[in-house]
Amino acid sequence: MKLLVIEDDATTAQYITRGLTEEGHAVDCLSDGREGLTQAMASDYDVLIVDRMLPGLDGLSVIRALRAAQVPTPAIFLTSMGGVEDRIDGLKAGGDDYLVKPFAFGELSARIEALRRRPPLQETETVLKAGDLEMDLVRRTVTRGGQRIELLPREFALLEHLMRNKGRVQTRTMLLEAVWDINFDPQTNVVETHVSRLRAKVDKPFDTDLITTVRGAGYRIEG
Amino acid sequence: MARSPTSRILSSMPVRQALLLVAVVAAVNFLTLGGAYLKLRADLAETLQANLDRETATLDLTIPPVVLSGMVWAKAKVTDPTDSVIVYLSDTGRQVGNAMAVRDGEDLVLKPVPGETLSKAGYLKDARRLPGGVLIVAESLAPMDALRETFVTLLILSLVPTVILSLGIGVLIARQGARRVASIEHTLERLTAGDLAARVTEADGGDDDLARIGDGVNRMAAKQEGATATLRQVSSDIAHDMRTPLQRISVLLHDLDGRLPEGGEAAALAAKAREEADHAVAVFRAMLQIAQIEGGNLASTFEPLDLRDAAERVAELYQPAFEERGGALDVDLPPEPVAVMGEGHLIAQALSNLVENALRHTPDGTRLRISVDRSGPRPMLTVADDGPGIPPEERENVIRRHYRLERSRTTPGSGLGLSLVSAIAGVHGAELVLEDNAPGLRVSLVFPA
Repeated sequence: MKLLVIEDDATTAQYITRGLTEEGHAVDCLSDGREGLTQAMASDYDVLIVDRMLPGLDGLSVIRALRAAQVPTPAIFLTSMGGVEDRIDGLKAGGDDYLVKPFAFGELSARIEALRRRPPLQETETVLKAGDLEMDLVRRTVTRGGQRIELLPREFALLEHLMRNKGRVQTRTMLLEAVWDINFDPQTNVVETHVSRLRAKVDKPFDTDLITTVRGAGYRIEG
Repeated sequence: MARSPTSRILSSMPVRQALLLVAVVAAVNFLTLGGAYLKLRADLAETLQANLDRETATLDLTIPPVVLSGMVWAKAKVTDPTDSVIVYLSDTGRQVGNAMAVRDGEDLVLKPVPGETLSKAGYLKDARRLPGGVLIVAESLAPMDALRETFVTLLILSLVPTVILSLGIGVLIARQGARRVASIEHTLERLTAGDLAARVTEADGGDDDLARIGDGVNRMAAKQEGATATLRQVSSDIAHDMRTPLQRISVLLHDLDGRLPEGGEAAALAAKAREEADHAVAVFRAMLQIAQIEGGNLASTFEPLDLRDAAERVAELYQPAFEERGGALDVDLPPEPVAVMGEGHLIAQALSNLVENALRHTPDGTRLRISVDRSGPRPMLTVADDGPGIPPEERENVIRRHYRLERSRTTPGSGLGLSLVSAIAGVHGAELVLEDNAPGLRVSLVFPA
């Protein structure tokens, strides 16, 4: 992917850039808000990674200006401010995601991946598929290899989220936000517990595992 | 603190001083009036004696008894026996006068004659032995009684206003002082409870001892507040400063983890190091979040929300975790919405922290109940477990930042969980209540009505 990092702290910028480059992304990096805005308008990026506090023009204003100019490039805010207020402000300004420092690199990487532009789901598409697993969104049923799998409502929601993001890593915090609308990091392994319950129904009775654990990052359902 | 306002006033310095003053004034009055009374009494006694002498002197005692009794009779006729008495008792037993003298051993006792009365105050008597009989002349002691009464009245008249006035002024000063003392006491209580913004407010701003004590308390509080603010700023600064290095460590460990062959000893070490770094990240995040919640203006973003929603989501999230441990998580929600003003994510976070605390600090098999209650005057969100609970004397401490019970030192957690809950309760104007669930712990967020 082609990424633009606008971050004024040189060391943070360097680490992010290095990590993302190693993952195979093409990364541009700028430290000034005004320059960042110009660059984001001039060039076609897949995802923007923008610090909230920047010299020249702050992160919120950069994204607001972009959105006003009809540039839809997805953007992730990086911030040391983690309050609910800041998060709401960030999302209102037109940001697509919000990451509080310090964050695990895997979290940033997974969230960038999640924002990759993809063909939107067809309105008429009512069946999600991953391998031999099928989810009927209208009838709320799940089958694998033709065999019916009974899921609780929240298990259904969890599987639906993984299937909609087929092939992409979903971190624990991303799952918490999407399925439970909870945006903080629990100190216990609640998400793991839910995933292992889902696995017991979706993978265990079958030969191959569809839900894989990505070490140090999260979970992914394979296509 | 359980003393009534009356006993507080009576025990105050000004009233005690007023009572002492009253006692001194009373003693002085008693002594001066007493002295005057004794002197006047002596003078009066002398006057009465002189009257008696003069009375006797008007009678020529050398005249024959018959003439004397005639003179006594004439004098007795015009003399009121309540003022003075004159009686002639002849040796033959005949007597004339305005009273009767009755022998009582050696003494002569006066009795009224029919139709007359004698003074109740008694008499100063003078009995003279004459050749033909005894002449008794007596002056009523009524003036003495009148004198005593006058002085008692004087004493009362001089003391009553003094007592009322001094006591009244004392109570007035005490009540005025009591208000200021109460204000100082109240401020000290709030300071002790941790409200470092509490100050003694002086309406008159005088320059007496109470004002100086109030100033002293205020200076102490200001210093304390400054020190605490500095401390808070320092810990916030440290958290901010540590953020970047932590982030680098996290990235480096991520790199390392990814490069090591899976399953090896080195990979296990790197994974452990990552875990520790993540823990440090969690602690700093909690610290920064508490600082932001406490210092921010979140209340302006509050919207009406249904407490049942947060309860349902959080319960649903943690149910499997309790079931894995052989316990259960029950939810008890009323059928109709329970609305409070707040921020849904924060309330869910507070609730999650309470549930995670229970998860960490209770043994396997523990049952937890999340309930929303609207039956009381204030909406309530409660998390109750049947685990080991918290000793009553420790309950206050556990809310304090970084405080952890001795026996939970070995269980993971930042130690900031309840502090964060307390901060979230604070911005919602809710009260965080820890109670005995007999057995176990019951933690409630009691929202404003």
